[in-house]
Amino acid sequence: MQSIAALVALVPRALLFDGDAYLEIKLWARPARDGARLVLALGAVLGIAGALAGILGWASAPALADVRRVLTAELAALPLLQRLGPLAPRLAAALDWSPLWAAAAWVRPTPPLALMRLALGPAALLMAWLSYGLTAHAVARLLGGRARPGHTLGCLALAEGPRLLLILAPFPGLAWLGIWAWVLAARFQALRAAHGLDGWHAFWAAVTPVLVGGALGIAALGWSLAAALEGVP
Amino acid sequence: MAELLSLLWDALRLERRVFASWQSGPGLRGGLVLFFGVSFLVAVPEAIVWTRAHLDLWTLCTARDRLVERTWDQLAYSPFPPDVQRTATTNLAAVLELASRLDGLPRPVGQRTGRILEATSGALAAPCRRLGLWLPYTLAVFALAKALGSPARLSQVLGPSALYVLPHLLDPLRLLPGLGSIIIPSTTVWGAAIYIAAIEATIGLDRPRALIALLVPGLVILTLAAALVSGAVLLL
Repeated sequence: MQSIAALVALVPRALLFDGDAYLEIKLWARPARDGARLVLALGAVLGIAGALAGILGWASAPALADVRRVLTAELAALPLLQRLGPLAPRLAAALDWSPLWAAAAWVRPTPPLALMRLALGPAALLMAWLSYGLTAHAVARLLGGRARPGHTLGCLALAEGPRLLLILAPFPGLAWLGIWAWVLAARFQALRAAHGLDGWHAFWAAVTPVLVGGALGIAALGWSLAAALEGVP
Repeated sequence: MAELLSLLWDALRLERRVFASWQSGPGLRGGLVLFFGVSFLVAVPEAIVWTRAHLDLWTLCTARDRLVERTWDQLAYSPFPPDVQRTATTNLAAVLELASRLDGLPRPVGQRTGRILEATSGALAAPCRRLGLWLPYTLAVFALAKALGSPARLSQVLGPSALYVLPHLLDPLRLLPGLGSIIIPSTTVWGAAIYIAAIEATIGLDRPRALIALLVPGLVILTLAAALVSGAVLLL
């Protein structure tokens, strides 16, 4: 088993798209176990940063309950909503939908919810790494890849490094698009190095799990919104 | 240091040989340090001005009224009929009014400290926001260039293309009276020219194919944006 210092030393190289960093982790005896430790360490750092950012965000912004009260009271009166005719009250009511505000409470948490990020940060990152890694591994094997699951997971753990930038940009927005693009490019390199795939096969292996996840996410969101609009009188 | 400054100066003057020198010298690491450093430096004065403006209700209301007036003026040159223009402007004013009501809600640490914390967080996130435009676009350009036969590696293209941020060091000058409408378009065009020159010099394709790789992602984004804006104006 590699020391955590040896693992962390590879992160800057992966951030700079140095393909040899992935080849190095592939040569280790237990790449998946080392990868899991790296992901947990990364998740712990992000969890601490997320908790601090959540508390500071709560302190510096208006309370979500107040925002909800103002929006619920005044949104339906906006001329642009009134132009939508009978759909307007439904849309205004859908914006008062509780699950939407529950989701918003995770993005702009109260201090107790923010502290839960300490535990949820590592757990969420571990789940994301495993689910993406196993799907990408299956696709890569279908496309002719030769790596074992442990190699794929070890290399993909290193590709999670760019998420460290979330310390600077903890709230969703344009910044997350850049960080996500960086992670995706790093995953492409990781899969290419792990499986010895050519560029386009590695591209599809990296992108397919994202497309599948995105399609499932959009379907779930659409279904939930439709259910919310149905429930509104 | 003198050599680095000379490289940066040559990049600002669009000297093509500088991009090859950047690849073999500072490379991607230097490009990223420059990218994050410049983006943060530019964000600090803007955060200070933003905080001061948001603590002064009169300045905020004036800015809001000016935005509505400017939108009204710009829509006058659009192909939309006058009633659509009028409705869109009325709606914009109503949305801005609602936004300012939300903005004025009480904050746990008070308005002043809350604004300062918000501005600090915004300034810290500024480099990542710029990253959200530069990296996905460059990755799209790179993927297209690869499809067109480029032999370049990603890090060889990313490092020099980050030099596009250099002219944006002038962005805070837009806060000076009278310079607002000149500075941002100028630095944007200048930065885009550096970006195009950097990609052309490092991608390893002939000029027509390099230009296709550079422009197609932009055209796709512009088309989508135009469709979205037209849809929004018609809806509003």
